[in-house]
Amino acid sequence: MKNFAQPINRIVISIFSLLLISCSKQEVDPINIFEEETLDSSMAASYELEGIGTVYANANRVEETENEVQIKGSVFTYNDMGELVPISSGDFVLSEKEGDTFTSFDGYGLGSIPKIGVLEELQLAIDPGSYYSYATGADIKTLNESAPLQDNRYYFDINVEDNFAAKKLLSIGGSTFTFERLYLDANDPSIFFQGDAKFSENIEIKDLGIGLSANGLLEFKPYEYSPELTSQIVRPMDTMHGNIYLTGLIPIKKYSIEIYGEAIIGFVLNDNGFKEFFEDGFENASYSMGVNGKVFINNDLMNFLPSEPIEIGKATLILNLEEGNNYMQVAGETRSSEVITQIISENGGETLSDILAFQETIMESYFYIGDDLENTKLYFHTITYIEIPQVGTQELSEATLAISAQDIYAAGKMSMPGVGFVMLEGIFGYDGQFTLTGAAEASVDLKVAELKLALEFTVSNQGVKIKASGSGCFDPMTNDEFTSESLDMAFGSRYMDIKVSEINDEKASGSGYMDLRVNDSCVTVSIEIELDWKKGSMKVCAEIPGFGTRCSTIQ
Amino acid sequence: MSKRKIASHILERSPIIPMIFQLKYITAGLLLFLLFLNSFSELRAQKSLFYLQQPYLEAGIGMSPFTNTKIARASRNRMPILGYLELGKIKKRLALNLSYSFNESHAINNYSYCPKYITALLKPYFLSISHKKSFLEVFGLLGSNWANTSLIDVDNSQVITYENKKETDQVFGPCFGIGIQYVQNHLVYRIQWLNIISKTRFFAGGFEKTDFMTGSNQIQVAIGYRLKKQIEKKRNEKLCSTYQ
Repeated sequence: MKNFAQPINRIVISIFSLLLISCSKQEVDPINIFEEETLDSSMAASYELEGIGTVYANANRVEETENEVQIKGSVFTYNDMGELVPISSGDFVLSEKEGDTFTSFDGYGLGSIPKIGVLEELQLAIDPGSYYSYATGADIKTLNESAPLQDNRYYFDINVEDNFAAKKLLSIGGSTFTFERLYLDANDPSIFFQGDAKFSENIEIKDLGIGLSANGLLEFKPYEYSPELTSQIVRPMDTMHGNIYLTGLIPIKKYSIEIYGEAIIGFVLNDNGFKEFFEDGFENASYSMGVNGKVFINNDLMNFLPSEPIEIGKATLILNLEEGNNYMQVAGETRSSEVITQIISENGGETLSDILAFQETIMESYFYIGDDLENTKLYFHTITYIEIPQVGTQELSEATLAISAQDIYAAGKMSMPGVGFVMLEGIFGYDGQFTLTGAAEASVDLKVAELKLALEFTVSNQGVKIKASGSGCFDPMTNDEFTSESLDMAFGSRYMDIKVSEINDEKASGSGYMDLRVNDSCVTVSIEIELDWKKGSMKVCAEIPGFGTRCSTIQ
Repeated sequence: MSKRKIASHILERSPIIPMIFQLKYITAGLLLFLLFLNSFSELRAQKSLFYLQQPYLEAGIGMSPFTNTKIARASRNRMPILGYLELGKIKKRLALNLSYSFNESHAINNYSYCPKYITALLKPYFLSISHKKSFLEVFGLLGSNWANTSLIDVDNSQVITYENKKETDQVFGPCFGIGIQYVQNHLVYRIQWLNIISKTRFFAGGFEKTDFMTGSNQIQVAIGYRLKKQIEKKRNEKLCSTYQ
């Protein structure tokens, strides 16, 4: 019996020991710092944050050190309308204290949007985990130029975790948006974010930016245009502010063209503009609108284009629908020098771009219509310049440029001294070789004879070459007509072939011989021609046997 | 005073019970330590029989259908799964048991804590009843555990890279237990109660790390297989040849 009792005692003691240890439990209460709290005003801790004002948190979620404050919970502030706005919930640090004001706010929290005013229309699928910082609009613009933020206001920079950037996060009505970064002005309140949007199965916009501001503090800058066009603008195109801002890149996949646009809509008349806009659309709302647009193409469209997208045109529309102040103005510009330079550089390298230095090809237009119809204005302006070797910059009007994979066809009118505008056309090869040719007629009165010249201009890599054939009569009274058309067809003698002796950006001069057949006898006439590019004049001198040297200047 | 009298004295003196609860770990440890001393003293007495005992290596798997955490208001998400190795001698009063327990998960507020344990246990046998080649044995467990515990914020799935989204801590602690097993030839069927004590430290949304009693009471059921060395048979053959 003793042998059996001993183990039983051991078992009993062991069980008793285990019961002693296991019968009690520990009271612990882990905190969910990402859960949005309600601010308890009786125990709220408050701190000054530069540019934002006073921020609040429940005191039991705050730990203060000498120069820092750590908040593990919800952070609040008051907006301009006096409403308490939760900024976010998470783990944040206020630091860099200057006096009683903190100048730095960093941390990790949920990227939530305050449910106030128009922002209630936004529905976030989830509040994504995000890294928080805060900076002025000017600082943020150094990273994101298109952000419609005011330079001197402070914004929370909410950087969404990569894992959520690809998810459909935000929806307005039936449209969904994915974004990576969100800027929050807690005082306005307003938000701006960039990402991709999908409005239906077929309509997608890349890099879409959306801004919503309760007090219309989002900023829009119209494009700048040339002084010539700006001088025609009826209403100054200054920086605008509005409540809704949109910007995005619309890819037209069929043709690999991208259209970039940005727009601002401001509700100018009533406080309920937002609501009216979302309920009734544009039809009945009073608003102002500014739109900027650009068109880009790259080598997905045509393989000889550069791989980087190039801008081929831009335009701005300003619309103001306000009682007694209705107007619309549109300005547009295509500036082809950049396009052509890039294409030439891409295909022909430096050789061609040096030879064919198109300085500028601008086509500008402007349209204005307002309440006062007398101010209605329509304006067009086209300028094309071409850089001709040795001659320098010449204006090319009515220019046409057709760019293909093999070469560039160019045509346009260029002012030639003495003969006015000459239509030149030709081909620029991507290997650097080019030739433009044109024809004109000129009449030269040499007193003893009137010379009618048929001129052919050739602009090529070698410079300017002019060929001429002439006809006329020495003395109108004798009717001794002469013509060069009956000359032998030998190259170099049939035409007056001007050997250029001097050419620069002011003038070109040269001399040559013309064989004339007069009454079945051959006469060789020495001719000198001087073209003055600045004055636009041509001086012709001919040494005629029996008459000596005769000169004439024609404009 | 004998060890048995000391234990009886403690149990009989009711005024000391509250103090025992205050010093529960020390008290329980002391009691079990005394039991082990007793087991070792008997081992010494059995030393002459040592070489006759058949060594074995046992491997087994099991689970803990009942797991009770030491944290109030925590609820179990997943039961622990365990694997073990045991080294001992048949009919000997002490064995060494190594086990690894994983898959355990408990929920509290928005957190989930998931401990994994490696335990090293001495296993004294208190009672052994044999019938033919089968044994029914009652045993105790005493040793230490190495706990690798993580506390994870699971409610906020959108929080991923926050530095305290998942906290981990590793710590050594004691563990005790008691169990019963039925050994039939090579197979072992076991049910045991193991009390694992570990105290880890986590922020858990606070500013300073606080203690978490992350151990648990587990009722484990397991099945094992014993590899036995046939020295008894060889010994008998040797004895027989001597007598012949």
